[in-house]
Amino acid sequence: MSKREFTTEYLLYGLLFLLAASVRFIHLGQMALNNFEALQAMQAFNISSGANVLMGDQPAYVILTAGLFKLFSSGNFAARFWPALIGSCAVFLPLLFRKAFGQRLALLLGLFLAIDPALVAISRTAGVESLAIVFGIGAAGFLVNKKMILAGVCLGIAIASGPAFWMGMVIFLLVYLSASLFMHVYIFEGLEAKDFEVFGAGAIITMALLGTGFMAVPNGITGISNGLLSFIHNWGSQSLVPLSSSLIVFGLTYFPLIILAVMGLINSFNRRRELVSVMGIWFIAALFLMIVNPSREIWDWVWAALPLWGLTALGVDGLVYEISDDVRLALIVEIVLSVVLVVFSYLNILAYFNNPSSDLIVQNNRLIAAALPIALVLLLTVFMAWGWSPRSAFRGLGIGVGILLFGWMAAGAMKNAGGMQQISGYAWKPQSITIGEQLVVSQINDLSIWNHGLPQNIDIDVVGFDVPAMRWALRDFSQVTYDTQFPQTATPSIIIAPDYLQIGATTLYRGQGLAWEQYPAFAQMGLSDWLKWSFYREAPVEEIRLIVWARNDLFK
Amino acid sequence: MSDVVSFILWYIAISIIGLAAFPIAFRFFPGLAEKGAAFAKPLGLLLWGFFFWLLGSLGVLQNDLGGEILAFILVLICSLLLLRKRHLQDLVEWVKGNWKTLLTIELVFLTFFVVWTVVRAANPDITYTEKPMELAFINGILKSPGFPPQDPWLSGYAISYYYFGYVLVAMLIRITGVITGVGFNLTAALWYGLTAAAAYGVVYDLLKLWNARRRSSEQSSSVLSRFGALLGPIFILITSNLEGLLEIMYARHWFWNADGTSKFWNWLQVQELNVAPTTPISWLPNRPAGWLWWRASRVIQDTGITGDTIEVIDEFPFFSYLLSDLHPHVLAMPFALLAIAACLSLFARGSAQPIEDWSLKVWVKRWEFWLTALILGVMGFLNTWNFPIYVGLFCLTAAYLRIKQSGWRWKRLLEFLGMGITFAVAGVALFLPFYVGFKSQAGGLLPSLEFQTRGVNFWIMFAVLLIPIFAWVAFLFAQRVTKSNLGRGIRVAVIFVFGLWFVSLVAGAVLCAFVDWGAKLATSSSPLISNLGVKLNTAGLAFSYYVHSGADAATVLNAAVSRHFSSPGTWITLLVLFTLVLALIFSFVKKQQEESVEDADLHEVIIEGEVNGAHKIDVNGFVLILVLLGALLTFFPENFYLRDQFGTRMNTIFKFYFETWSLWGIAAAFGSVVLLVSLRKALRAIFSVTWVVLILCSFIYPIIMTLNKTNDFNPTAWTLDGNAYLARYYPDEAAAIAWLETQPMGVVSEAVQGSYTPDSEWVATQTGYPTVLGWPGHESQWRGGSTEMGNRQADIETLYTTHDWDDALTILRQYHIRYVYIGYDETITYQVDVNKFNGILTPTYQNNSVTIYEIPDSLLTPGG
Repeated sequence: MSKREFTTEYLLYGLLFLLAASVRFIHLGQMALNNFEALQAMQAFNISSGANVLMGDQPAYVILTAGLFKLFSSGNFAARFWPALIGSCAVFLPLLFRKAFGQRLALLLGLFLAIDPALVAISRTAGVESLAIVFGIGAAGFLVNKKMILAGVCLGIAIASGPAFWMGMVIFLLVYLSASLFMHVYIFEGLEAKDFEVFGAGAIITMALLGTGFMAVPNGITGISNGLLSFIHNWGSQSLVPLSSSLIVFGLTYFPLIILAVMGLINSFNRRRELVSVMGIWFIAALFLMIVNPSREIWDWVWAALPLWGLTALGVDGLVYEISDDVRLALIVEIVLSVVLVVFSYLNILAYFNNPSSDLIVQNNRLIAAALPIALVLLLTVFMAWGWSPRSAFRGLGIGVGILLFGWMAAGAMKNAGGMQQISGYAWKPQSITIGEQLVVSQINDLSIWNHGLPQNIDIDVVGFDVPAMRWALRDFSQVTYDTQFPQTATPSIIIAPDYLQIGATTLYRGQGLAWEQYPAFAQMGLSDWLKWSFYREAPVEEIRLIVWARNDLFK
Repeated sequence: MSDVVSFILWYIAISIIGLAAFPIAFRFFPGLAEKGAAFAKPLGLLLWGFFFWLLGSLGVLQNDLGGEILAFILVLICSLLLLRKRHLQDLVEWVKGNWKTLLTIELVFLTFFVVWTVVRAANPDITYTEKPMELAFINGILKSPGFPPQDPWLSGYAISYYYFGYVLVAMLIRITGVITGVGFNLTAALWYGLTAAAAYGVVYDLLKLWNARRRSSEQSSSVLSRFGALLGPIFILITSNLEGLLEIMYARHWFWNADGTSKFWNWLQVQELNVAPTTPISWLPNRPAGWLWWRASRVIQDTGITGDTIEVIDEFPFFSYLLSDLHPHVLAMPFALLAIAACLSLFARGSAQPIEDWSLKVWVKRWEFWLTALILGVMGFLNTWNFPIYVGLFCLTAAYLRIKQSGWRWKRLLEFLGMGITFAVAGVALFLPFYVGFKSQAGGLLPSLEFQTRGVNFWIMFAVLLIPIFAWVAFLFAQRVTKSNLGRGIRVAVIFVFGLWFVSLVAGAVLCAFVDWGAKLATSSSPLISNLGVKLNTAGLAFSYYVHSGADAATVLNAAVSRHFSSPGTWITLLVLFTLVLALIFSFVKKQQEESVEDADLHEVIIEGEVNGAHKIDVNGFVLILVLLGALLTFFPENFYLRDQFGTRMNTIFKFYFETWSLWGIAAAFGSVVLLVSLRKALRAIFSVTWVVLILCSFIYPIIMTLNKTNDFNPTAWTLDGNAYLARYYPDEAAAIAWLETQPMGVVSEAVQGSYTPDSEWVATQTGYPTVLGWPGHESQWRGGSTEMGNRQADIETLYTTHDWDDALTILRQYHIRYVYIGYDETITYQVDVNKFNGILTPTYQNNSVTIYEIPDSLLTPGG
């Protein structure tokens, strides 16, 4: 490769990184942490405050974030910083597999990883999923390139990331065994025992250093084994999201990929059999594990999405490969017609759902108007193929549909980047979304300033609602207690309790109700709900409401 | 989880631990025939527990399942590092060639494990004696976030006891996921199996080495060793003292006169058996005792100056397992045998090939030194009494080899002391976090004076071991001892026996004199001398009044001398044993010095892959060391004992006799096989008959008392859950405790009961949540006083009985009590006033007979 090519390629990767970082970092701190995120963030916060903390199962995230909290200050942005940064680095992963994919495909893959909706979502979540994926695949990539120390370091970080890594590890083992035994594809061919010793030593040293926070948090190393234990233990628990719902979400988000991936598989099977085989086995293994694992979370489906991107890249590459040989006019006409007619069809489908008419004839016309352009596209394609160039005609159709589908995916990524108003759109977020944090904190701070002249300087009793997101929201308040019962004799300034709990001394307090959490009720959705969700990301939501009680004398 | 599944999980867990450690044992025990296979499980447990505890104490590992797994991975890493290069190949080859031996060891382990599981399942209740204390420790460790673990019976403090054994138990319970009640009983059974396998291993190794020297054929050596070694676990774990035989004689009314008197039973002076029987004649014991099986642990008693009876504990392994208290002396057993094996390994290595460099500076650079230090050092953390015993055994073994190799010099004493100090320091260093916080009730040595073990009681206790040992020693004596060595043996034994007695008399006289000396010095004008005088006077008075019922020095010393000669059985027995053993050792050492010169040119023979020169190892020397050490341990309390809160020989005899049983058990097993093989004609017949009769007599106790304790294997319910009785008889308490375990941890207040109260301190014992105060007597023993306890007992009573909420709140805040528990114990112990709680708090939990109040954080904070 020439120096010019080297520079251009890395410049392109740099641009991809900027693109990835922009969708990941924009409005990163705007949304409050939910319980899942707050659980990990609170551990990091407590460590940064010097408290003795029992390490959970995500030591890498907790220790890295604790360091950030110590250097700067705690906050929603800082809590999500590392996942966002490392998630942005996913665009560099294809670099490690350049030999297998080729320069062009690797770049294309980098673009896809930059805008993958699920990757964007988990990169914007305070947790370890993005660490597990990036460093796990990074370890494999460095191994393939025989960079043992870097591979060991990546593996060490990946293992320290917690249960999310082990799902990928199981998938990797299935792929490795299947590829070796059935396809005679040896992923790490050429490596010797000495190489693996260096690799192992690198991983162990990294785990020891990162797990203990360079000995600042010695007991953090226990979190490494807790991560494996959590993964094993989770197989005995049930996910809150039913399998059908997560399958639908995955399907609706990635159906463009599936189409293109199938095209890639068919087109490239003969030319690049090994690569296609590995991608295919990976997808099947991931899909299988998602189905059989009762504790699957929605973000675990990312492991299935990644090989789809690989196959999609092959499919797209096949579409644009040797495009100069095509009849240009036919190609352009086909692309334009495909885009216009499909968009027209789409608009009619939108109208069908968005503005349903009571007139049956109108509704039927809309359906016809939605179906007719599709038929027209297909007919036109056949004519173009017969009259000019079959290759150009079908390629043009593929490119046109591909552009539309790419737009769909990009829109999905943007939505996951905080562009949505509806909570139900955040399907790839673990658990519920906290929406009441800002209101609670600002109201209490106002009362604190009015009465004590300083913010965060008022006593609060949280009754019957000891959840991580609440502890995170009130972390900077020094006088917070958490009780299971209302105090009979004590009269704290502020009481926060679920709306179904009534305090005894109502005459002493005035209260304000608010929605604290919301979560989409996917389990209750039917077919029409899912169709609406696929277009508008709208779904029924449920919420948890609280009442913030303030003592009357605080308002004098 | 069913009991069978729990058992299987424990078997799998201990097997995995043993497999992980076997490569380490293989490299550590090269001179032993079974290459440490019989000790791999305790070695694995030791390493696993050590890494977990040490790194937990340093704050690196958390006291949770993740920490345990990481500790196990460290054991695996150690094993893998030791298997590099050719060692893996050697191990595989050896396993292929010795699978029968491995299978036999495993079968021994499994058989004893299974049998004792069944016994425990028929008698599982964790109540009475000190089982609640042990359960509390285990639960306290499980609930503690790190080390040192919190004391569940004294909130705010760490456990002040040698708790390593309980750490191992807690680790097994956690990793297998069984409930603590089941884990408790599985521990007793597992330890029985581990001890059996280890005992088997030691005797097997001894017999293989003995056979190698006889140059017997490979096949006969294997068969003899494989079956003969079974006597190891039999002698150590099954045979008992002769109290069982006495029970039958008593039940048959033998030697009782019609008027209810008996010279025989009065002469024996075994409590309860010296009272005329009131029950009909029977072949089975039927006297109206609380626990029929208890008396065997009290066949020895002391008599005070005024004729009062002073309790002495003389437990032996079978009794301890039948009692099934997971006390430190029981938990230490497999590791004690591991230590014996380490000594034997040194003996074998040093006998086969001279040790080139005895310098400790060279030794400390080797990993074997540190593993030995770990094996010996853990004794201090398992059962502190064992620490000096097994360091002593190791040093005696090393001294024997050194003298054998280089001849006797007075310098050897310094070397012996130097080695002892080195291993002691290394052993303490490895467990330093324990010693930093440890407090003990031990307070020096006191002379025994009038407290002497009567010969008849000593023989009741040890006859089953002493008879084979004496017979074997006599057999060796006839073969090997020269007149000169006999003379040396007599001289040394007499000087030692009478010398130590004289020292104890002098010490006693001095202590008695402290009363007068101290009184005189106390009148001095110099404050320093006056203070010293007060201290001496206090010590003297305590010695005189507390230990000797206020008798004056002359009376005490007269009693000491007269009892020494009116009941000479024990010291005469030990004098004879010392004489014979020392004479033999002197002969062996000299003979082997001569042999080592002769054998210098011999072509070395390799037998079964054993270390080169195995035929040169005269393992009789090692067995003699075991006998000698046992004799020392039984002789010591006749002259001195460790001062503790009880002020008597009770604990010293208890701990020393218990270890003697293991040492003499191995010697008796080995000696029995040697005699049964080596004796001819009439002698063989006499010995065989005597031996069989003796063994049968010693089997009476285990058979009859196991049936007695398990109600003839007809329990209320077959279960391993030692806490099942709680749900059966106190369902409300059981439900309340189960609910409390689902709540966040916090200090619990419950009624303070006296030590050994069977159904007390339920909450802390069952949950591991710390209570304000558990058994005060035990806390005082563990901490050498009651400073830490302070006023807790009275405060808890006030908390329950006061009518004033403010008084109660003060106590709640002082001890940061989170839960106030009012159940059966509280209502019968105190006049509980619940009104003061009800006015302020709502019960967080309530059923028919238990109420629990949770104190909100806001109330515990002053101003709330």
